[in-house]
Amino acid sequence: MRAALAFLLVLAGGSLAARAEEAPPPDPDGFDTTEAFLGADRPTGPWRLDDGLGVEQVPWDDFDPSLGYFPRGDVHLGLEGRLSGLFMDSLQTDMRPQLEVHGFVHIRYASRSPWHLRLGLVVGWEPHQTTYLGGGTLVTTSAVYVRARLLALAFDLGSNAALRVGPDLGIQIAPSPDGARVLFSGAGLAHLAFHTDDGRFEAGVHGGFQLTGVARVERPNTGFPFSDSSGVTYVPDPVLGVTAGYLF
Amino acid sequence: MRHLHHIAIVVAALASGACHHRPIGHFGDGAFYHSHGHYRIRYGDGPDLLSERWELTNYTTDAAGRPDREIRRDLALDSSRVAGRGRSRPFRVPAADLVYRQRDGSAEIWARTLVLPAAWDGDHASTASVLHGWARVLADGHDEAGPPNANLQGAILANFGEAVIDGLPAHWVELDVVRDDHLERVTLVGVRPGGHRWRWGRRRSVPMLLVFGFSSTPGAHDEVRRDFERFVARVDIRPRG
Repeated sequence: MRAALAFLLVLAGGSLAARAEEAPPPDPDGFDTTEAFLGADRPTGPWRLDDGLGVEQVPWDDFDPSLGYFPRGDVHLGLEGRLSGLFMDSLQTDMRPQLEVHGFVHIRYASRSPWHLRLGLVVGWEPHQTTYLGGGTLVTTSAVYVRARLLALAFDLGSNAALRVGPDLGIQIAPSPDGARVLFSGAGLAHLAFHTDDGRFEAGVHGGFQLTGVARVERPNTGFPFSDSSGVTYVPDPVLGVTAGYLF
Repeated sequence: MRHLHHIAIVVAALASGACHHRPIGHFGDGAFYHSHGHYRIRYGDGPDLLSERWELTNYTTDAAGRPDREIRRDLALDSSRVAGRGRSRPFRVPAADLVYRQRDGSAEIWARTLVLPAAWDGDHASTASVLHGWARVLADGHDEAGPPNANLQGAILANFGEAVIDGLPAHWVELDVVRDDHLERVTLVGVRPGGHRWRWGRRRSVPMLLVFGFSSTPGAHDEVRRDFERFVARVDIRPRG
């Protein structure tokens, strides 16, 4: 019975196909015939396949964990702490530690792109050094610095790591006996960070160099004021450290 | 109406064609999202699109039973034939977006994005005419045009009409189909997903038709229809912005 039915249907399909080759077919698709056959049984209204909900009620969130990068979303604020060492000290003394706090904005260009940008502000501290050279002359290095950090070359390495490279530009303040010297501050750093599955918490290592300002201060005679007579020397100090941060 | 036959033949030709390994979609927190972004299907009461009576057959599942990796079956298309211009380059489209099979029966429910030739842009081919053309291919026994993996031996049109999916005009057809010597009833509902187009390469795109369908024995068709209606009722076509 089934075989016979199949044969009839195939025959019907075949005959329709054959008729389609001849022009002009009166009803090549069978819709007119079907409509006439069904008569009053033809549905009159549209078949409504709609539960009434949509994007207005349920926001569109097509983040795909297999293709997208964490943390989800285009823009995040973040806070990071860094502990580093300045390995080749500008005044040829022992290695100095360095602490800094980095507040930043994390911007992803597209949810499925590994490329992103970090733009932030850094406030750091490092042990101040003063060395008296004799003859009323001393040199002093910075104790604190405030820099803008632009990690422009930044991209994710897979789903749990990211590499970021970019410059810092700002000021550093070198205490001196008569107050403080405000100097230019610059650095170039690379940051390799590993983050949790949701991308919120991250820890990593960073390294690079910073231009440590060494201000030369002179007081020719006792009782005279100090003067910034010889300007400033910038020494590129290698920096290597660890980081921990959180993105909101 | 004669052009419908040619449309149908083109569909069949396109459906046998190849390239592009973009994922079909992903199962997000609240819905299945197609990777081309033109539609989603929100989950029902639980984190599933259909009840436990239905098994998703074109995805593997993880330990928790959630869809994991797609079991890919692609159709190979030729870009110059689809776009109507440019160099001939192969590209692939998934044969189906989602395919569910009834655990205790032979019924199937599926969702599919059909890539249409560029010539079918605009009013030249209405949803009804495209779907009719597709049904026509089905009637002619072209395997690739029908339900995924269908071994069709023939089909006749049983009914047809208009429909509404997510507020958009749609069209449906019902066919009696012989597959593997068994009589089945197949219902197809087609909708143009707004202004969304199937894009590949840098600047190439063609129109598409979103087709939902279900097949079962004629006796079980009304019962399966209820599950199908709940499935398609949760479809959202992404608004164009």
